[in-house]
Amino acid sequence: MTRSAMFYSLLLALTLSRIFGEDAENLWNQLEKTKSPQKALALAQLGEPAVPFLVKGLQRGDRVAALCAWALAEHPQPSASGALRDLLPKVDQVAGYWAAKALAKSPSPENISALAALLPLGPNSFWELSGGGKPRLQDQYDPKGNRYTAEAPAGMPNIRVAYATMEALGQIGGDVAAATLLRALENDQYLIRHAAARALGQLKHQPSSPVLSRLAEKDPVLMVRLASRDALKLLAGETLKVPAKPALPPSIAFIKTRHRSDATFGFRDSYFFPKTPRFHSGDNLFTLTPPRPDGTLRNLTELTDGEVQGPEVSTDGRKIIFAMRRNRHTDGFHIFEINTDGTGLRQVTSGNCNDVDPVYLPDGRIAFCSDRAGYQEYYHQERSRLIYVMNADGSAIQQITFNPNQDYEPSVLRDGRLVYSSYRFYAQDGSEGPLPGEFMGLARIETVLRACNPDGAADQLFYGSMRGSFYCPLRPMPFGDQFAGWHKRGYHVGVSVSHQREMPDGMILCTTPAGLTLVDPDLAPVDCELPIYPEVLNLAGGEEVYIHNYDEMNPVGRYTTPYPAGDGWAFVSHAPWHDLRVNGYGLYLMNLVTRELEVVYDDPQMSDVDPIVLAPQPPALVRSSTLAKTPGATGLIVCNSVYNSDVPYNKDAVRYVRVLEGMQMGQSINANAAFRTRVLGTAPIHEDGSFYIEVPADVPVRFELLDSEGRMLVHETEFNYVRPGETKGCVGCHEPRQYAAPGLKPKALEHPPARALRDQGDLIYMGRRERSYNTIFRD
Amino acid sequence: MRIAPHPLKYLALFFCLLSIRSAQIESFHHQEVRRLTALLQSPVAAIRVEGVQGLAGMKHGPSEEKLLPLLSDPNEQVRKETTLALGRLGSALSFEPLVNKLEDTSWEQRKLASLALEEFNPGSTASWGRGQWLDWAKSSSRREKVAQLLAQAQQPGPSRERVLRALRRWVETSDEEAVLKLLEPASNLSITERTLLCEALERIGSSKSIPTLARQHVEAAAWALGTLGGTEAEAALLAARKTPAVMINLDRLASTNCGSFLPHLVYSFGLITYRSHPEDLHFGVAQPVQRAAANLILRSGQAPTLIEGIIRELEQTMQPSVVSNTPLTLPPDVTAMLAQMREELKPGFVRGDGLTTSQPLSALHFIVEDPSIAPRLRPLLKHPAFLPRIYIALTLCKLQDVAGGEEILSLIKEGYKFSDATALASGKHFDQSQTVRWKGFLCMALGKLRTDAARTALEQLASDQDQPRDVRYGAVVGLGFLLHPQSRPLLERVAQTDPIWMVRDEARQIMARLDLTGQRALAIHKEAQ
Repeated sequence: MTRSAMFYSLLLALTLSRIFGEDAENLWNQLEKTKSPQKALALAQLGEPAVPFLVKGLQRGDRVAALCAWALAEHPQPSASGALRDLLPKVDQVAGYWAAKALAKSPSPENISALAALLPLGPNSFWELSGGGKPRLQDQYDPKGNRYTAEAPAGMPNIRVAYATMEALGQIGGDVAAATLLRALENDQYLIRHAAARALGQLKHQPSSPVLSRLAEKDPVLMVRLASRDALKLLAGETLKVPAKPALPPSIAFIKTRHRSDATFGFRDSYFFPKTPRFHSGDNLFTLTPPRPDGTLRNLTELTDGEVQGPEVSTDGRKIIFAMRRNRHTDGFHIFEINTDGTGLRQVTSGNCNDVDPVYLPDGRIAFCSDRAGYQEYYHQERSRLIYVMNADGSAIQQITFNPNQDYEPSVLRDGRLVYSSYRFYAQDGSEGPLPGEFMGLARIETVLRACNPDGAADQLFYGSMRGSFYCPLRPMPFGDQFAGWHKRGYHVGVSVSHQREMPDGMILCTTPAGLTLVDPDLAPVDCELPIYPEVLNLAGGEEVYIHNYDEMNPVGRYTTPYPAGDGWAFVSHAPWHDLRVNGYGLYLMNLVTRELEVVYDDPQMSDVDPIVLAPQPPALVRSSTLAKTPGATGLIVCNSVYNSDVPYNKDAVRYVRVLEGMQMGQSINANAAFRTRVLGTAPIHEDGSFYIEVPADVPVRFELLDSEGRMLVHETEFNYVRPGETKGCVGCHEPRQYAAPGLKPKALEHPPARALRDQGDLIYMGRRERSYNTIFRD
Repeated sequence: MRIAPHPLKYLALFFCLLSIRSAQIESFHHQEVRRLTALLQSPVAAIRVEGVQGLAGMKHGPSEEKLLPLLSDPNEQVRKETTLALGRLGSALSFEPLVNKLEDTSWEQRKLASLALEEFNPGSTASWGRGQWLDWAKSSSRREKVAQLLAQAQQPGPSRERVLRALRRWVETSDEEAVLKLLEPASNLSITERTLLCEALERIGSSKSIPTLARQHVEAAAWALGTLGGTEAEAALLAARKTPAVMINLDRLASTNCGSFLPHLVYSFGLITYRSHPEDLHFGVAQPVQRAAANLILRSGQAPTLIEGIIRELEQTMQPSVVSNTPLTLPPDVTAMLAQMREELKPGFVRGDGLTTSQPLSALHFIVEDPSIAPRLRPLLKHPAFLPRIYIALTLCKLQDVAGGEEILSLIKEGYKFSDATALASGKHFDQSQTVRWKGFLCMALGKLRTDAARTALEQLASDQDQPRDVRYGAVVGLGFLLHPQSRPLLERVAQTDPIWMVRDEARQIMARLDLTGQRALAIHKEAQ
């Protein structure tokens, strides 16, 4: 370069610096004031002149720090690396997460070293959630029995930041990164193994092949096994299959709402705050033709003070069924149907109740949820929603599920069954469990997926841990707020699985504590899930989440109400991580493999949720009912062996099984209670551990195993039911769905069933702690 | 503000009648044993089952002889429950009859007998047949068996519990000293082991056992003390922690000395807004602890002043308030208990989170006995907090106050200002009672009025689809308390047509009870012929 060229270059730089410096200062001031993501991006786009301001933002430590880190991940500036590195071990995990992403784009020895430092040696080396500006490790008890929160030790990394770090090292590459990632494959935390396997595949790091092969075959966690298999394919020079973008449907329908609850799961929405029942509802039902930002929008319902809820499309794609109330203050929800062109609105149900979540059945009837059972779930005394079926004209309404709490959001599988969300409080009669950590058995909460025939028969767990702690069996790390997180049976933990939809390949797309998740229904329910963003584990569900909102710790944004759009693609409602408004959701088309998002529609003033495709639906099987029509008919339950259980109770001591009915609350005005339990009967266990019992139909029942003194050894923590004339069998407790019993006939089936039916004078009690019986009973 | 017309004029009368009344109050335990024993004679098998189950639940050893014949009852369910019962409470008396059951044609009967017999021998007997059991029985005398078990019981270890379980079955009164020796502090027994020995002493003990039982701090000791009786046993129970078992056994002993812990007795009644006592108003009969606590309060002689204190609190929190100008002296702990209730008597109050303080309201209908207090209670049906209305209604109906029943009915018929579909289910919303459905409880109260007028009104409410769901449900529950055959057609219709599952299910259960009653009457009639 000549001297004159150098002079002019310098002059230009100074001039630009002055110009952009002023702009940068202006943008910074606005960013500080508004915390606008657009301002942060604009600032980072200015390049070097903005760095002093960005560094100032990174050092500030509030939401501005996260915005600046995120902006630097989009527009990297190596000179900001020092401040980014400083964020990695801080409490603000969103800022740390984006700092790791930004550092990936500015490779340097210092950055690699800082990133690698987030993989400590030794087990249990991460914290997960923060509270009050401090990283929380685990709740413990002081000598007086008072619960307190133990903070994570200084320097312990956050699990989500560490996850992003592994990904960053995969992008940077090199010996240090590869060695770190190789070490990460042996980490006790499956999230870290997952991230490392993906990163090493990306690096095509051949020396990791033996470990990846082992993980691909033997890792206990499905997503790690699959990530390792994908990595091995990349090592072998193969390319991974990325689903092609599907053809857009001609039209979609969706709901616009001013107030979308901030959680991504269903049961919160039936919580009756503020003063009327809320059922995941919105302001109006719209169609968008074609489904893209410039498509034609049409308001089908034109309500001014009403609500709509739960739209579904008919099998021919020409009708929409949904729930609506025209006045949110005085009316209940009822089922309505309308043609997709907005004509032919008709009301299907009526009555002084709420009918929601409708879905067309393959035989032309309709399944829906209603609070017309009249009872209330015991814990918060919400009105229980349960599943009903009816003819297309609204006649012949029949209740088909009998959960003492709530069943909702039914959808039809192509095999003709209904899959639905089921909200469960375990041991909900307040029974103490006999095992450590179960002293207050009512405290475990979970929303699982269950499936049944359209007549309610063959109801069974479809997906969910049945342990009240979704990922706990997989999670070796402490989980601060769920203070018994180390204990796989947990205390006061709860998770939620809802918004389930069957994908073209049979996988189930749903929302779980890890956000959007694909579930393989053919695998064991405790290890069949593939979260789209594994790193948001536990932020999108859980008892603590439903009380405490953790969205501010979520670095990837909120996702809800997915709807299949083709192989590997779905329409989703999404709000970016920096938009926590209740009206922040927009509609996107999402690639579930690459996480690519394409905006479909976004009203900045409203949340856009519940998209459905207005097109003919894949055919589903019609299942006929074989239930008894006799009034008062009973059902039968056969258990192959009570010894098939992973619960560590004293199996040698088992002598009897006691059958308990969960008696629903009809009139209670309290909350956080235990409800009544009726002792239906006690029967001896056969020598092979089997039992065979006649129970009342359509009544929630559960079992307790007793010793010779009649003392409870272990209790089933949830309720089941049989329909009239149905025989329901189980292999044992907590066995995988498709686990086949050995070809031995249970001894119990060699004899008539024991009787456990409602009788005059049955012992009725309300929880073990208070022992309030209807008659004297001595333990 | 107005002045209450009824200061303390009832108190003197109450105190005069107290001694007579105390003697009249039969303990709940005695009542229950009497009731259940009578059920064993019923011609209806389902009712005999209830009797067997009830006595087994109580572990009422003295019933053993009455239960034994039912091992050969014509009804299989009765035989099964009897075998289970003898497994719970049987002594050496039951041994041979249980052994004979090992040759029953039913697997379940044989298995239950085998499990019951396991309690008689600490060894491995699961596969033993009748012959082996009889051989074992013949191989040594009862005294030798006891001696062997006592020797084994000296050895601590995991098998000792089984030894003590067997010992509990075989001991007789002559073994009392040996059992007491086992309970000496140096024995270092577990809670279960001490429980087993206390159960043995309950059957074979005498007054000599009382000092030892008083030291055991297990529920079984309270039951043993209640069985053995006497002033020493009462003193031991009065000194013990006041668990339900302790209170029931103090009631068994007709204790008149429980006034010193009146608030504890009052807090035993529970409350519908308290988290663990959600629906006790639905029970046809009160809970044992409630009945025992009510008896103990009544026998203490403090019921009249407690009732006066509760009513005054309610009157003072009415709008406008009613203030009495007559002083009332209450013990400081009772005064504090009533003062704590005030927070929950504020207009619109539904429930707080955690504990509640209004249990005196629920105590009221258990301890009020004088119908002449009804006129003073009726205005309280319109108390600004809704919880007192429910318990006042219950009290009026318990007193069979017909005029109060009419006022309750008119309150129910006023209806709500909101629809079922938009109503709140419960009080989780804390301080907002505007959309809480509470009138169903008044229907339940009417069911306890037990008059034809109440039945007719409830039948009308239960079948009126324009009534809100809680009123229809409460009306059906109320009809269950009345259990009148004339209600059956109506209940049948409700069971078939009401859109609410809870209402239909409750109607079905009441129909079953009515049918059982009819069956019993028919069987008795046939027997008489």
